[in-house]
Amino acid sequence: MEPELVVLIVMMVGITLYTLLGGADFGAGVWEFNTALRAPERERELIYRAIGPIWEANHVWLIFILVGLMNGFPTALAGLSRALWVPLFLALAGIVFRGVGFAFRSYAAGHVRQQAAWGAVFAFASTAAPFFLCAAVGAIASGRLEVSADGTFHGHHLTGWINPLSAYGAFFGVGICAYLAAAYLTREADLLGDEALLATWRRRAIGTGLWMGVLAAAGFAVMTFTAPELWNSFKARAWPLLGLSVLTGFGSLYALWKKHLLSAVIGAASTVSAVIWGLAVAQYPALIPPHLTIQTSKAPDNVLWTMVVGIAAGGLVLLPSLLYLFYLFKGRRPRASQTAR
Amino acid sequence: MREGQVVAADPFVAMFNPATAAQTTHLIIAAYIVTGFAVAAYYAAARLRGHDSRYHRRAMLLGLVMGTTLSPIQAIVGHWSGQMVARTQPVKLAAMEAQFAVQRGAPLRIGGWPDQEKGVTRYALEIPKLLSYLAYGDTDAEVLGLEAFDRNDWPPVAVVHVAFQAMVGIGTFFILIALWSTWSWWRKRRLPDSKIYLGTLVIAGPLAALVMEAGWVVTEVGRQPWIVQGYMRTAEAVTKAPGIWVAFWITFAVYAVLTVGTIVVVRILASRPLPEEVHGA
Repeated sequence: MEPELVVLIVMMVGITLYTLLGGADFGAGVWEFNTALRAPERERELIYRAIGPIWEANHVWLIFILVGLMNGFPTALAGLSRALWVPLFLALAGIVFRGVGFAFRSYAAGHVRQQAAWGAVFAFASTAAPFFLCAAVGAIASGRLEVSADGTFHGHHLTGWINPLSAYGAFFGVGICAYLAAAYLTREADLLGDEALLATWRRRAIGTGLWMGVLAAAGFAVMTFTAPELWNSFKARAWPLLGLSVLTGFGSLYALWKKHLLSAVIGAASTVSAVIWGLAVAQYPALIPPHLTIQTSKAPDNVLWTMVVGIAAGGLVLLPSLLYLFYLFKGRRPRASQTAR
Repeated sequence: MREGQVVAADPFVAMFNPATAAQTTHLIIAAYIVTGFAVAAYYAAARLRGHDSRYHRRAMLLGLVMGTTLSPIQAIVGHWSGQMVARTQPVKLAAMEAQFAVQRGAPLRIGGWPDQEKGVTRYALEIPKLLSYLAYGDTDAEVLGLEAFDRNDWPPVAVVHVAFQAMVGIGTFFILIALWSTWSWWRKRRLPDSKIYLGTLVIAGPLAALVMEAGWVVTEVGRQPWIVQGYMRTAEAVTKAPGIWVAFWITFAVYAVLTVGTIVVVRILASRPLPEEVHGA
């Protein structure tokens, strides 16, 4: 197997994990934003308790993806940095202030107005980050980024990234995060035995899921009119993944309705992952359609193989540790310190 | 490289090049020295303000031990680093030492101001033959001064030289603190209690941060005009995109906000006991 494919697949796994884990983190903040920061304290407590132990680990995936891109496909990173610096800069500001807002809110315990201020920073930044990250993804997918095969960018340095699909991507991305967060939080509420919170989040998750279905259908329309080559690729090559996404999407809604919450979480994760892999399959082999492909932008083979070995060695330490972290904080085990209120 | 494109690269040769071992060791030790003196400075300041409990004295001792035991070791590692630089980056060595002429038995300069235009260093205290000896182990070894190299390949000499002198100067100051503390411990079985001693430790804190920055300036500015030595100049690597200054100032503003916020939050944390449950972070 060619080394560039191995690296690519590893990075796709990284993107998937970032969406499923970091996306849910962002989603928690999106819900703060959605409820106009007037959610009752108990609801907030559930959110902070859910993301508290794991949020720092979740955002490492973004760094992993960027470093993988930098070392594996440097010309692609160069092109993306030039074309997408505005949305990426704004997304970065969102990520930075999100973390700051979360941490400072915890540390300012007792200073009510400061906590409210940092909570607002957390909510707003958590919404901005996926908004701009997914706008960037949409911009790439649209095929309208004027990046040539050697990585030079010919579009406008401030607005070259704005087009219908990137605008759509921004809202779709925020929606994905909100849905994942709502599904996970429904299960968290169930694990805590809190009936009232369970009802609230279940209602929100189902509502967001239905809304995502509408948005997805709208996405097909946007693609048909503004990125027909991409839509044709989806139909020709990625239709199994699209079908899987639709099926598991309905499945997760059904599971939420029936209160089979672990299935609901798996369903939500599957439907989102299928969209990500579907987009990758549809776009393959272009990294920045239409000119910059995997072949034109990859690093020399020995560098790629060194990366693969390095990642494998690191993975031996990372993956068991990560699984253990999630088992400790997310598993269904009797937890003495948590009592339903 | 071929026509400005990298066609083959060996990551291991790049990562484990001749300078790696010395530089890495020097950096790691520097980190511990800075931390040690920063901690000691904080508790020395607290003791000067009258908080003189066992906790404060122990904490100060902890930082002090870390900073002072490593300072003499750092001098030895620094010497090793200097020998590597003499071998692999002679231009950098010449700039560090403000050595313009190609010279056998070159002197070590303490202080001094290099005049890049005229190619001469004034007001330095020169110790004959010592640079040749330190760099190459032979008092008559030839040291390649800046004049052996194309002027376009010179780093900013004054910046590198002053930074280097600052680094070595502060490092020597730390070794003196180490000697003072050790002498006191040996003779009196305790550290000095005087305000002068505590005051010295207090200034050692920010000086430690400065010594580290000075070291970075020496190694990074000393490598100029190259970003990848011998292959790519910094001027070639910089992006040609517009708006870089805007992005720079926005980033600066973001960090300013974060700095203020951090200080506010740390002061809150320091002033009250932590609540029972703090979620995450």
